[in-house]
Amino acid sequence: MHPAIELNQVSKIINKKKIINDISLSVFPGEVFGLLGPNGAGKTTTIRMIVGLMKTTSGSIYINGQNLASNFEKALSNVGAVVENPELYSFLSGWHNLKHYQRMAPGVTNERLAEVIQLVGLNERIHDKVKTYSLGMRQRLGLAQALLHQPKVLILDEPTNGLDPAGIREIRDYLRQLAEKENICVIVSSHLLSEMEKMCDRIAVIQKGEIIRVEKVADFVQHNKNEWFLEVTPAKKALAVARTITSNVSAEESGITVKLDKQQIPLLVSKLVAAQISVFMIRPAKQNTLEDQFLSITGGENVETV
Amino acid sequence: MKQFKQLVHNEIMKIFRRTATKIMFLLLLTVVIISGLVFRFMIMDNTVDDAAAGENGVSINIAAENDELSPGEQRQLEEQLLLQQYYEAEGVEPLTAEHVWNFVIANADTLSFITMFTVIIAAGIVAGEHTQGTIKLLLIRPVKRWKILLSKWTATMLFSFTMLIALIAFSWIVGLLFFQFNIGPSRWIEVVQGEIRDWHAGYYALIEYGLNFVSVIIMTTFAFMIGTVFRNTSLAIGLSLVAMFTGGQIVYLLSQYDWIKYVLFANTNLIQYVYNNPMIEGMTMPFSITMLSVYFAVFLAIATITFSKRDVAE
Repeated sequence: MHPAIELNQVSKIINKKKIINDISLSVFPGEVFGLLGPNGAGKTTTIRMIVGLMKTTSGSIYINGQNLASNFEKALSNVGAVVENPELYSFLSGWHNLKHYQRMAPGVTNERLAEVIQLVGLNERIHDKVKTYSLGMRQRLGLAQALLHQPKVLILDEPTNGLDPAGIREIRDYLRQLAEKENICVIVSSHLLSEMEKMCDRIAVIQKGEIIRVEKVADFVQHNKNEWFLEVTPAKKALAVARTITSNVSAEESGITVKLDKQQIPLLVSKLVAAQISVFMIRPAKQNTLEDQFLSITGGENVETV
Repeated sequence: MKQFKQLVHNEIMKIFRRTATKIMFLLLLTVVIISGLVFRFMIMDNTVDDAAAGENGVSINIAAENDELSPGEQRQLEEQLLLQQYYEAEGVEPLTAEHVWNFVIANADTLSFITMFTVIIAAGIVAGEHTQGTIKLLLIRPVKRWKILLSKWTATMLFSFTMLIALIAFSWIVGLLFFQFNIGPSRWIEVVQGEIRDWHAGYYALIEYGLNFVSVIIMTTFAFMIGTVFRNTSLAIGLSLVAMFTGGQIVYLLSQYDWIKYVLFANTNLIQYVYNNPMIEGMTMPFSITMLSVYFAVFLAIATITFSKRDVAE
């Protein structure tokens, strides 16, 4: 399968500073791909280079097989994007904003326009001026302009920003549907790590302008699968008991963390109980969410974990 | 070509759907009405008196015999005499002060309002998209940047041209209303370099407005360039208006130097050639048109190159 987007050794130097250092990346049709990284890591710069707002210092970008630098119009006709907050013309109505973008892409019919408006649920307010819209409505209009010309690649910077929980869920389901049913390649960046976890198939972690890791979400979150936290008192005694089963034990504030197969947990519990230790709770140790993974990879630098 | 038309359509929409644009047209109308009122009730009353005195040919003769006249006054009187003789010989009447065409022609100075309004539009048409952040969604379309920029320039010029048409229309209508539908004989007769020149007033007005509009184009293209390069609307408006209001004076002060003829503002006033009376000796219409074309091309080239090469980031 040919990648929908291909970055070959892309670097970007601004004011003699290397913002992006030799990034190579392939994203495929039908895939929801996440870009993850602390602020200033280079996520937005990467996105800006893909959508043609910035030029690469070296390296090349291919969109649907078209070289972005030498075949700009063809390459970009396959891309729909929202870069950062969707800044639309506030003195125009939502309708005129969409008409504006319709005129800039060949072959967008009025039926498609109506369809997209329906899709993002803006029917009732589409003829109102954008300055009267809420952030969520602007976000929807931003999504509408990105989808208008039925792009093969959809790039969204912080797509759920400003939406209510129902809206977030809606967008998430819709993006998944776009990828699965229409074979669109979706690239998202988000500071909502839990969102990424639910939305993406693969995730690239960017730090200091480099991609330090590209992995499937499923693999990503399973790294420390067999680590468990037990809330027990007294912890010291529990530590000694646990050591009889495994050497991978550490003391925590209100309990212990052990590393062992799930099947062995009942054995551990029965031993603890036999030793008159109170067991209050057993749960997977905390190093197993994407967020924690991410923090451990990036050293917990500057990341919003809201 | 179809694509370019669509782009211009977009820019026109963005200009004309702004409240500020509507206000500009209202202001233009107001200016014409005020000018009409001033013309009708202040200037016209005075000229009527002058005309009455002038018709008395005897007074000219008496004055001409008087040796105490300065050379300038002398020439003025000779020209008046020439005109009188022409009127009598041809059996035509001069354009009266209350004639509509006279008002339209005299009103050509209001073109500087069009320059001002167009400078404001030209300065903001690129810079404004940067300040509002809308430039991002504009430039991620499958359209080359130079086309987008050129469409913005074209739309600005169309706006300016619309204003010009509106100004002439407003002047005509206001003229008709204030001057009792006077559309009688309409010839514009002047003495140019000692010779009589007899033009239809409409033709003269067209030449006058047309030549003034050339300087509107060049000044607004300058504002367009500054706005594009510095992404700052106020700076572009400020620089352009300061240049416009002081440029002519600076050129006048330095007019003894030969190199001054290569300065933009020595060439923007094309009307001077209609009177065969250029500010700097030896300058000609073709020379000025060449200079203006060069400046124009340089302004647009600078704007296009910076716009195409720019990395868009906050």
